[in-house]
Amino acid sequence: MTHEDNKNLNRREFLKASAATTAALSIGLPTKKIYAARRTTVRRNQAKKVVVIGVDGMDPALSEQMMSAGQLPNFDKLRRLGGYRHLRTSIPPQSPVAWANFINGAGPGSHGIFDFIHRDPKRQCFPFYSGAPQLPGEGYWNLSNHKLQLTFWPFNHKPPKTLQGRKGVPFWDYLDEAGIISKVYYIPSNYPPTPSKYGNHFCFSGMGTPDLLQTHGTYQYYSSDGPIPTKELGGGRQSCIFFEDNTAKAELIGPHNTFLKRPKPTSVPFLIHRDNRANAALIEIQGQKILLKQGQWSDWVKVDFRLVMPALIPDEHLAGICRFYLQETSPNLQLYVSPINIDPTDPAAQISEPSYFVEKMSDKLGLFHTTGFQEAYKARVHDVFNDEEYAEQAEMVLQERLKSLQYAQENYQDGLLFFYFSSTDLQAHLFWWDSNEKHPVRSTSEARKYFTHIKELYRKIDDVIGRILNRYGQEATIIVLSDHGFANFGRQFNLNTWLRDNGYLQPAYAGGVLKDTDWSATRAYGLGINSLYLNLKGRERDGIVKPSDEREQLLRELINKLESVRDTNGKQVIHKVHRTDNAYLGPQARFAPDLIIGYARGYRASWATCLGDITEKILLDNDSAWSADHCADVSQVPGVVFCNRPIKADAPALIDLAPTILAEYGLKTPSSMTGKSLFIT
Amino acid sequence: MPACRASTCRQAGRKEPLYKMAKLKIDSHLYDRAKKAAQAAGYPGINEFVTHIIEKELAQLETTEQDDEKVAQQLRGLGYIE
Repeated sequence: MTHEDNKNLNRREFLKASAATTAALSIGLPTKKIYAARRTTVRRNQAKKVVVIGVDGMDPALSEQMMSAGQLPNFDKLRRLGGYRHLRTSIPPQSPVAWANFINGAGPGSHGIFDFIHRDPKRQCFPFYSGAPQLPGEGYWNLSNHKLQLTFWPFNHKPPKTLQGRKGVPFWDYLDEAGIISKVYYIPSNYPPTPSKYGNHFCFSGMGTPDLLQTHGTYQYYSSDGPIPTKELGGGRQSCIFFEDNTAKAELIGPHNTFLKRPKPTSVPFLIHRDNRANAALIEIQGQKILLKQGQWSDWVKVDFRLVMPALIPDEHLAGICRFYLQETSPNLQLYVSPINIDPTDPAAQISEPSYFVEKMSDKLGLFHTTGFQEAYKARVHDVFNDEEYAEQAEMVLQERLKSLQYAQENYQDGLLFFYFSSTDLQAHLFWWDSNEKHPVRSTSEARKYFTHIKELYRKIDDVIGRILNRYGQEATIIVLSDHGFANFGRQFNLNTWLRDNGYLQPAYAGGVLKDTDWSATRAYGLGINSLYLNLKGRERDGIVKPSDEREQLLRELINKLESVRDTNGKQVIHKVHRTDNAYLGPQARFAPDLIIGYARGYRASWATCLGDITEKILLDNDSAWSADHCADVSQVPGVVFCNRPIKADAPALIDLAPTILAEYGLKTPSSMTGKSLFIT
Repeated sequence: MPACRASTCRQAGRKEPLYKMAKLKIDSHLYDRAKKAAQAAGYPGINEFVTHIIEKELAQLETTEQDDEKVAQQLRGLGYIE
């Protein structure tokens, strides 16, 4: 443990943090805590070392096949040294749910994350991102075109707030209390990061952390043959640029200035000078000149977004970073700009605990991704990138992550080290295909080629594990786990169309749950990837199903019918439907969907159904480059767990990892956890 | 668009209101309650009171619709949703 990590903030940092707070509050980002918990300075004995590596989406079948073929020697060594098991995943096997199971050592009834998307029953079915729901601000002071929030007495306006969606107690709180240092990098389901009471916990948030626009990552794409008007797609913005004497003016769109009564996006103008003969372009932005050849990526570029304030009040600033990729110079200039990440050297929001933890990382590492989802999957799905370009960008993410791992190791002395890899998940979504059936967008040979790419990726992770084993194998307990496995996604099922066509959702011509549903006659609806809700009286704003016999009968009827759904070739579409009143235990269970749809391998909720849209057909081919998934039934996509100590549990689950880690430090499994140590039979 | 107030129209000496007006039918009991509430709250008349209430409610509903679309667009940014 380096004491630098735990130093108190100096005056410079205090002032910087104070200034950033106002701007961050304005856009609803969680602000940095100015005072960090002070860790006790009493000399402590070195704690045991436990190293946990999270490899998102690592699949047992492929792992076993590759281990048998001698292609994953280090995983195989780990298996022989200690143990290897399939790891039971969460219901449903979605990453935010699964990693929350890992963090709490208990299921969704404890942490309250049931799906990527939740709904607010008070607004009938208003959807929101489950991991970090946002509370709007309350009260403001009118000043010409602006509304200013004055958070002090006598005004006491309440600024908008991003909440931590995960409830319950994370396992690191118990380590924190016991004086055990935990350093956690890129952990999903922990944005905004939970506070460390005793100053022994250090964390950099992962999946779920937004970009500076408060989205999950919105790229900007400029092309001389781009769409007019600008096209706003979920996760991307595509616009047309016009050249005059080989120079085009463009605008990089930033976060909204929510100090305005009518919030408008900020923007930074920039120039693109093209040189067709040299196949290059020069980008000029805020005094920086970036020369790119065709096919070249820039380094990270800092961009400052100014939030204009009323006269006499200094403007606020938010710091972002992005990378430019010159895709083509002629005949059409095509320029991709990555999502604008929160600048780790001057974070506009709290993305680590303590807030200076990420700044310390950037002192050593420079600029790096801070957004939770870093792979440019939206650019691939929107056909801005081809497969090669996506693979190249995803490899850059992996290389950057490996540098962070190096940093993490150099700054680790004892206690827990957790490090997370996203590559195996976000590359598999696009490149996994393990059968000879028709691929959604690729020829059979192309599908095979890119599945080989996934195998190559597994080998790279194997090398990482080898280095960790060499470095810590003699002195640390090493655990490698994945949150779920993977499956082809060839067919999609529209739950809402099925509900409508079977009379549960009205009217018979309904076009979408959020559009034209007749709630006075609708008994059930789907929202999110695996969630089905009853329109329950007393819970949903316009609920009609009585929470007694009617509810019970309806649940049984839906389960029977849904499990009987067959595809045109006779295949079972839904492997199992789970009643959450049976599957979930804990105080959050009452907020859960009523049923979780567990799809059979090969199937998933349709793209449309996730936000309640209704398509003509119930079952459709998946036609997206996003051709593999894991949002299936819990039994269909187990994860893996490897350890350099013998695993005694026969059928371990994600919820068992937290008790295992605590037990390594002699801490009893707390009552908040339902899992058991892997090392107990 | 600012609401047309009957008094303003009369002051202008016009027979026709400045803006085209529509008629609404409401339950007479509700009308009486609204009239009393308008008086208690200091509104010049029931017309002003009803107009204010409708505008307030509409502003909220219109914002909600915009919010819904904004949230849906953000959620589409997840890889799992298109």
